[in-house]
Amino acid sequence: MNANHDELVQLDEMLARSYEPVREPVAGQREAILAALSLAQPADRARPRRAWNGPLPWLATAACLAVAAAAVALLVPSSARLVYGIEAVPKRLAEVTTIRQRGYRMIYPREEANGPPIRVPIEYLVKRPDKFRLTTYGVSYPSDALMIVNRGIIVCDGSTESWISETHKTFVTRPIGLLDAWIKTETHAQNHLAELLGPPEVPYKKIGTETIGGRECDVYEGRFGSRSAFQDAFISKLWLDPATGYPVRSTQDEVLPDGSTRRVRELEEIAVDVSLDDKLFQMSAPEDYQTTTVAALGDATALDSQYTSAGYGGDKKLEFWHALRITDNAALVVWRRSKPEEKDDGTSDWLAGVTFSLLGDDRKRPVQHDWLYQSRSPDVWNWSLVAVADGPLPDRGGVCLELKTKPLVSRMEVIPLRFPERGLERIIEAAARATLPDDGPRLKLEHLRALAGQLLRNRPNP
Amino acid sequence: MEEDAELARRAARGDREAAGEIYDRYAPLVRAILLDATGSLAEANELVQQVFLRALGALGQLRQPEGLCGWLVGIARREGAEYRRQAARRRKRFAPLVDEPPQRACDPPPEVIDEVRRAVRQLPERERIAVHVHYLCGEPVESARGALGLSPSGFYKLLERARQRLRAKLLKTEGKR
Repeated sequence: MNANHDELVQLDEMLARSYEPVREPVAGQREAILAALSLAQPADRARPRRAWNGPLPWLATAACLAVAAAAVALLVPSSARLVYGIEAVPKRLAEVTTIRQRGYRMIYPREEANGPPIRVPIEYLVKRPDKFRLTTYGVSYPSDALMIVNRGIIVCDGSTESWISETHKTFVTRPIGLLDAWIKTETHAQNHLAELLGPPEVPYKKIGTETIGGRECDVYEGRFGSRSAFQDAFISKLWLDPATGYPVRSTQDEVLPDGSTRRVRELEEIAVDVSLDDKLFQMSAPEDYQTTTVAALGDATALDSQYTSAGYGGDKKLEFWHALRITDNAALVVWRRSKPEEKDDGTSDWLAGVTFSLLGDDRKRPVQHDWLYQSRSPDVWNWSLVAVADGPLPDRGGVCLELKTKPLVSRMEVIPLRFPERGLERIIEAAARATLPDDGPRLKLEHLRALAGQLLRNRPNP
Repeated sequence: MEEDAELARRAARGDREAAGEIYDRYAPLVRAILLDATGSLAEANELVQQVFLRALGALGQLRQPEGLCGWLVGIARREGAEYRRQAARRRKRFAPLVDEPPQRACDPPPEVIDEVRRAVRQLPERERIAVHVHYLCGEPVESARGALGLSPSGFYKLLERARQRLRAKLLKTEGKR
């Protein structure tokens, strides 16, 4: 009897202990949910009620509604009545297999050029895990009165990456490894998705509903811009199918100084999980194009260690490779900089003038930094661990990496890429081989996560 | 403690305080159900947010507000099932890129806790939810009524069955060491 009782007590204690991690409150989650709920309040909830004209119309409406509700309840399983809002669009899109976006961009000439705007088609296709196709446009001004629009196409079919420049009639191709194709596909996909919704601080409001292609969509509007004196304000609109939670159309308008607006970009079609033929991700050189074949980087797991964005000024530089999301609230950021000024004792602080922060409304949230590998060289990549103490990294947008030094002030938004668990481990291993010296540390995902936890636990008190 | 039905009505009218109380009351239970589905506390936490957004955003459709707990459990179960479906799809999709299927390892807990969790995960679903409710809900009998549609005696019978299974599994395993 006693043994039985003791066993039950022991079992009870074990079970109670096993639930401790589940009971732990998740920092910021409650607030995030409540904030998102406020954003997603249906617009008609705020509408004043119409005055009643007597009981008859009301009774008739109520009877109709009751019949309709009963019919719907019988026909539709309860899960189908759930609707999706805008709050988790980036996360939902991060999990789809294919994405197709088609539309146009408007290119407005400088005032001196005095020409009509040019409407150029844009296309952006992703087939996860390793295929993408996108159009790029650049504008150059050989003279004040002349504007040239340079159109390019980049494709990757998982084994070959090719670029074409229609203006320069050049075609470049090179073999690409599996992991390199994957990280590039995700870089394009996740950056495009971030661009689709605009900066992380943009609050979207539901402004109505509209039928697109037979689907009744919720229309959301976000206004953003004026991050700097050089950036204009924009109005972004997104048509979201509440039945799937995916956007189907998007527009972006620029607000001019006189308050009027002009269209900058329109994605007339946004489709996910559609069938995309592998041939769409292949490209061969047109006959009269100059072709260059670049050698492969190495084996299938080799990653391209070239920077993906950079800022230069005088002899100063800030270069960024990639950032990887390793937990909800921590990221690995790979970057390098020019040599900082030496101090009197001959040493240099390689973090001098460097800040890691969040953007927009999140900019005041505390961000912790720790070195995973400090190269002390402008030519070798640093590995930094960046963690946010008071909740998850923003769902969309990224971390701001800034270097303020003379004469360079460079600020770049880096998006920590999400990967599935096992894939992330492979990417981290490959990243170490590509960006760290042979005698550098070989950190595994579990180490990085443990270090992130430690960094947050040991953070200085505010 | 305010009843679920009243909380649900207030939250459906847009009362943020009530929505927050619903979260406080049921987040651990929802998290436990999602942990069963994902095997990762980090993943479970992400889905918790989704479940509450979906549930609280659609509270107006809840025809019986006193069934709030059951409504949340239902959404959490569906979300967990969707996660497993997508995980299977991801495994297929990323197969060329990984050595083995990207099965998520549990966050590293102490070994015993790991074993207990594994044993709970292997219970039949209703027994598992009964155990979650017992250890995570302030008013387990009321929550079991909403989540499992059980009377108090039905709940305790189910719980007892689950405990017997766990005892056989866990204490036998311990004895072997």
